Amino acid sequence: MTHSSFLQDELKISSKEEDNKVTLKLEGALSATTVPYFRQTVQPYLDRPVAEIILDFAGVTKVVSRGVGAAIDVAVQIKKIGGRMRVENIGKFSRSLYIQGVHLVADVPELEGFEP
Amino acid sequence: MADTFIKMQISIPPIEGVEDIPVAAVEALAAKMGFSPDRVQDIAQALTEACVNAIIYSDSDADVEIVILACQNSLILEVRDKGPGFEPDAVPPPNFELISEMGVKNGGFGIHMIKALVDKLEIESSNKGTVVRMSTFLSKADN
Repeated sequence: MTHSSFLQDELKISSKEEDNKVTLKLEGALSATTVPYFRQTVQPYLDRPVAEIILDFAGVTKVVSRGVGAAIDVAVQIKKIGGRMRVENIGKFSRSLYIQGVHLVADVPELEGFEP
Repeated sequence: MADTFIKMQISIPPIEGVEDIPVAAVEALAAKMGFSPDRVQDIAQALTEACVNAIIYSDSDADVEIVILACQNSLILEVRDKGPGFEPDAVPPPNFELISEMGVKNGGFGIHMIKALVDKLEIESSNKGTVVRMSTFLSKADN
């Protein structure tokens, strides 16, 4: 795989922290290219740690299984240290996240009672 | 001009992100064929996964080819790469119990996802490359 400076996937993450909870707003692609940035951005909240990480997918334009795997990993890591992860606004990616079992490790309100 | 199916072909370099272009074309085609919005999304997601796999695991600079066969009642997509190949039957399904304990350190479950999103998945792979063939059939629910 090669990278192109002008066509490769991009991801922006903005954070808002309140009451030991952090909301991370994702904008762009959660893909193989952007997974390192995603992990690097989330890691400080696992190190401290915070009680809850909320991933807001409202601005996500593309998801690949590798990206979903990284999100699952964060959910598992925070659970191990007594915290939790919540994923919101998954919209059209509901089936993809359900198939990968995100709801098994994180709170995903849109997948409660979801029938694929 | 053939009236039983229409064949189209797009070649892309093995650069992650470029697959968005054939995916957008296939999304437009699937919607035009009458697939429901949910099924269009499934097809787009499956094609994205197949293209990304082809790009990530491709050792060569050879283009990845996407062959599109639009039939009256089905859409068949082939993603062809010239990578080193793999043994499709050796790819295990995800073990959710283990994942819940250990997390996911690298990769995802692309093949598992594709299988769940399309009606039929066929994979031919050798040390000269891989062909992933995904078929989705129009159903009454789509109309």
